[in-house]
Amino acid sequence: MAGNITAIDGDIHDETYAGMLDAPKDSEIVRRILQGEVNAFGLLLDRYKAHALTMIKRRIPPKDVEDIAQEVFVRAYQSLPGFDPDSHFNKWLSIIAVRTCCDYWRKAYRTREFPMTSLSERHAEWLEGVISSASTDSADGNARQEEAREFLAWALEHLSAEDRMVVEMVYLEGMTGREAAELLGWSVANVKVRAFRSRARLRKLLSGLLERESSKW
Amino acid sequence: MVKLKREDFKKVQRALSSAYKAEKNSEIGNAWEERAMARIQGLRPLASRRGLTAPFEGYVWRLAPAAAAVLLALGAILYQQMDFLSECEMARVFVENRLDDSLFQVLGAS
Repeated sequence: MAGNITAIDGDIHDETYAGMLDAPKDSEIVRRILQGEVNAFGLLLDRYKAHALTMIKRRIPPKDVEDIAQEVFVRAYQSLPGFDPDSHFNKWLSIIAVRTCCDYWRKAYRTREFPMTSLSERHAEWLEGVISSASTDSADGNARQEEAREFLAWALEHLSAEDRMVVEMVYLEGMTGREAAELLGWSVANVKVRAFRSRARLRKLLSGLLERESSKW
Repeated sequence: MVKLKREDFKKVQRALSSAYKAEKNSEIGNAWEERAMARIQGLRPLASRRGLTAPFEGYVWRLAPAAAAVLLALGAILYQQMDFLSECEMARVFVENRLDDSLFQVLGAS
């Protein structure tokens, strides 16, 4: 499989290595699909489903992950005539996955189909705990992960679908502006402006929350 | 308003990033793969969708700026060649002559 270098490292059985050599290249599979062999798409789906699911699971609520995964591969199939055989299928699929997730959030915000997350005392405690701790170690424990995730969901709900995607890619995943721009199909300047504005908005949101909490005491 | 310090905000950001990257425990079955393939098999094969225009599809957006420039140039030439003056003259005649007079002339009344 293209790009799966770790599988080649270390001990590896000859059969596995031979299997990898025998496996058709992505460009070869794409050519077969374009010639009418629709079932060959199953090979691509099997090869890249884990990669697509990892990307989708981070961005989409668990109940909708399967539907979005399905949508990503259907869109990929429909866009295959535009795929450049010299480029990496992995990267191309990532672009489709990110844009499908963005469309999902646009629709969700428009129709308000998702339940709004509400914060409780334990979320406020989590926030204060993170701020007062010397490091983030206390927040990394499994017991605190749930609070952190719910807190994150609450914070992201206050952003637009586009800003949400930028915050996730740049601040949470650590992508560069250029990488995020490439995946989203926007200019680098647009991504940077959105990232800056969203960060300021989140900071204001957290400041407001801290103020409300401090006034309770 | 209480302003969150930069270093505090960075701590929160790191904690949220760590939670975001952590593997979620949601189990995903294989049913979606079968549904995806069923949907794809229900679509028309890609080969039959590529008609006579297919070889040119890649050039559409590349040629769009040039096409727009040509359209603008043609529009400018057309604008220069149109005889706006005579159209204005015609309009002035109709405005200056009363409508009933014009109609009588047309109908041949005295």
